[in-house]
Amino acid sequence: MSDSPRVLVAGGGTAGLAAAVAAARSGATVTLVERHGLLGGMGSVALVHTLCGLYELADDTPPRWANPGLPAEFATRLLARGDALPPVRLGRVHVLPHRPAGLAQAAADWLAETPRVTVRLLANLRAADSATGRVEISTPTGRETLAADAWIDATGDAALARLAGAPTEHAPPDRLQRPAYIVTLSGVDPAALAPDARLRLAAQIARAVSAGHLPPGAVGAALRAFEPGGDTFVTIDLAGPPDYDPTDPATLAALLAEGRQLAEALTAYLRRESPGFASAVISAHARQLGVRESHRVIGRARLEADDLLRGTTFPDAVARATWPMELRENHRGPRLRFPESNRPADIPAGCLQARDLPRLFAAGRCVSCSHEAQASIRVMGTCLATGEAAGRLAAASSR
Amino acid sequence: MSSPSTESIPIHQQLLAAIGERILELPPGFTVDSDLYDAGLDSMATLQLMLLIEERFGVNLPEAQVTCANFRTITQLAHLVEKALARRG
Repeated sequence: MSDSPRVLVAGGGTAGLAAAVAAARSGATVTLVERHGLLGGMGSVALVHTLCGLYELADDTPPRWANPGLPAEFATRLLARGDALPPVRLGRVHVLPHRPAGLAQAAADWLAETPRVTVRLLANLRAADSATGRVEISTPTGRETLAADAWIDATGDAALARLAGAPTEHAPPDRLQRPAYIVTLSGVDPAALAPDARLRLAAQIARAVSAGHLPPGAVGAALRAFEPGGDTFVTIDLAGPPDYDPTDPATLAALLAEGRQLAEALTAYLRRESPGFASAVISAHARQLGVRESHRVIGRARLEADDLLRGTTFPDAVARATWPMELRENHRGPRLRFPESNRPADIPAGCLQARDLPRLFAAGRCVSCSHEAQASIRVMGTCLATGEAAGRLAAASSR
Repeated sequence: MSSPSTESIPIHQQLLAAIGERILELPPGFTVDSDLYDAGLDSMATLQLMLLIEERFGVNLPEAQVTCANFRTITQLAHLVEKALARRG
């Protein structure tokens, strides 16, 4: 057995990617387990097309990196490959628009270029034993067991923590951030999505819903056309059932079906009623729901809304959060809470360390925080940052 | 949505309160003439604001008035609402 600590990363979204790269660069031998057939998580499989939380809140142009390590490195790679456009200012924040398929390939290349990282795609977590560090996975051809000295839960759902019996928490189902369903359209006239035209289009959709020409769920639709490559994204926030559980397969399947139907109905309506959409067709459906909030690991520390509002600093800070708390407790659009000053908030190491399992770390959407704080730290730019931090902590913990 | 108690409150004050409660936590010192986009209003929130106005005041904003520029300040929006209420009679 070599001296290199073995780190298992569960989840190949932005948090898991950065965790794998950081752990490997810290000397660990890394296995990353991803249930889908491609990397990138929300940013590819769910067709989320903007990286948020990469930049500080500031009036400066150009914006400054919130976390200059791996988040900046990955974003710079996307830009260099033409898979992202330069940052765009939306209200008070800057986002990096990216091409989901490009992000998946950039992620695969990033990990392939990193020594000591093995990627296991199409691999589902089945069991986890914290006493031995063994994790059982299933693949299309069978089951196998992976051994590790430290685990990183970057599943977004605290799936590894729950399998291992570590305590987790989640908001009441009626307050959980609502999920999104995303499709891309091709054949849209770009003029139809210029700022004023886009606002009128949104108003047209809302009125068509009121008049009964579109199903009620279509009121949560937003259109954007800034993918490098010319596709238009339609993001539909879904209300979900009162007992919404983002880890329940039946719920997820029903919401995917609802999203697909809404997207088809909306596209048919726009083709008929909106001149710029006469030849619009759906070119891709998301393969996964855009889940915003799910279960979280209970850590040694818990980030709270006040920490974000005040820009709290911590002595054991490992990452910085800059995105406003973007509350989407219903499907009619977000309510935003910005920090009192533009100051970023520290995320302390304790939020990434499971309270009861010393070798379990959390990264991304499922780090330890409150429901409100999660509405900030869930975004992919911050997930890259907590992923990087979790990777370093995990590699160091097993040395 | 209008009741005797809200009718006595000026439109711009109703808008200020409703935006702060439903759409965007407004920073201290934010006035009816402050820039809503600088405060963080994005395009999705702009649509929400339009729907909120139509629901709360029972008006329809004409398509030509639905522009990003018209949603920049609460004072401008209050003018739009007044005009829409006058048209409604």
